[in-house]
Amino acid sequence: MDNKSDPMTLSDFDALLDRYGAHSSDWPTDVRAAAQALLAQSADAGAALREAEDLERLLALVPAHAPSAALEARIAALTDEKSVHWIWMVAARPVWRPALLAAAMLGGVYLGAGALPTSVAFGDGGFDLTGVAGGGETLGIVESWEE
Amino acid sequence: MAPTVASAALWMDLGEQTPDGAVDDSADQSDDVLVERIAYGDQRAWREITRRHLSAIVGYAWHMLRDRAEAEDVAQETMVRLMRKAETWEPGGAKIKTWLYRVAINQCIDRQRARRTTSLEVLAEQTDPQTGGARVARDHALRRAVGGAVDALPERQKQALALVHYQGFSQQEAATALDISVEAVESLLARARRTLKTQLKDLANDLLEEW
Repeated sequence: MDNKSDPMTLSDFDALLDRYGAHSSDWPTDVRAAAQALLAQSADAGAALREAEDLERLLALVPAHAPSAALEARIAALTDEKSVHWIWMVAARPVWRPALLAAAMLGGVYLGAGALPTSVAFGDGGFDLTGVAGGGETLGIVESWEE
Repeated sequence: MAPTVASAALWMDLGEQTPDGAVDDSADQSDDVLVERIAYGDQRAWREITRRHLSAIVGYAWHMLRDRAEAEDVAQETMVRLMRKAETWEPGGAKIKTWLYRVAINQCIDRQRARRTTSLEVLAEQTDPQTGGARVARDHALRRAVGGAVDALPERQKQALALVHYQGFSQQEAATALDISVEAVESLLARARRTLKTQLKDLANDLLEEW
């Protein structure tokens, strides 16, 4: 059917069925009217359409498979790895390094201060190390300090 | 208000609302936006993109390979590659859907080259031995025959048929996924349908009347 205004032949109709299937919505809009006209007057065209519809029905019999729950769980878990990766990626950027270093230092100071006995931490003018585990006395620090 | 990418990562696991009170609208966002969020580890975006595409990829791979485990392997690897690709994805270029299918198609081709299954045997495995009766037997016979005829098609014809018939691709989308012209897709489909009509004609006449 070279000219779209020409009536559609059965051969044209068969070729279009093969190309686009039995659903008219899948056909190019500019050939639908001619196809409809042919169907209205040709029993052979009707038979060809039914044959195409039968094929669609047969193809639909082949079942599809949905993803298993195990696959869905594996796919969902991928994002956990991605989140960790992203955190490291951000942390590794040079712009963050001074901030990370400062945060680590502050954290260290905080933890260190928490581990010290209260009398040591910024006491009343002198340092008393006798309460420190291991003992300043054992190390001879207290005596030498007082001297 | 759609969350920015920068904020997306900050509310990935904080419940239904972002800290500024905005509702998570992953379901309304385009694949491109979701992938951009995935690049920042956004779990909601990942769940949404998985919801949109995983079933279809498994379905396509199953139609190509007729092996559930292999189909799921293909789908998983495809999603892994999307995860890796997210950081360098350029919005506005190829569609995510098309890209995913290209990855899946290539994996299926590799696996098909590595092995050739006898589709009739695989389809037979899907029958439930506990069920019986003439109707069930006829259904199984139909599925085996149709599956066998589809599997016997040349590879490109089968790919085009799987994308357009089973995955609902337009011919334009199938052409992009297969990296061929629309005319070539139409030609592949026409040849596939002609072959199948010929091979399944007797089956259709005998069995579909009772269907």
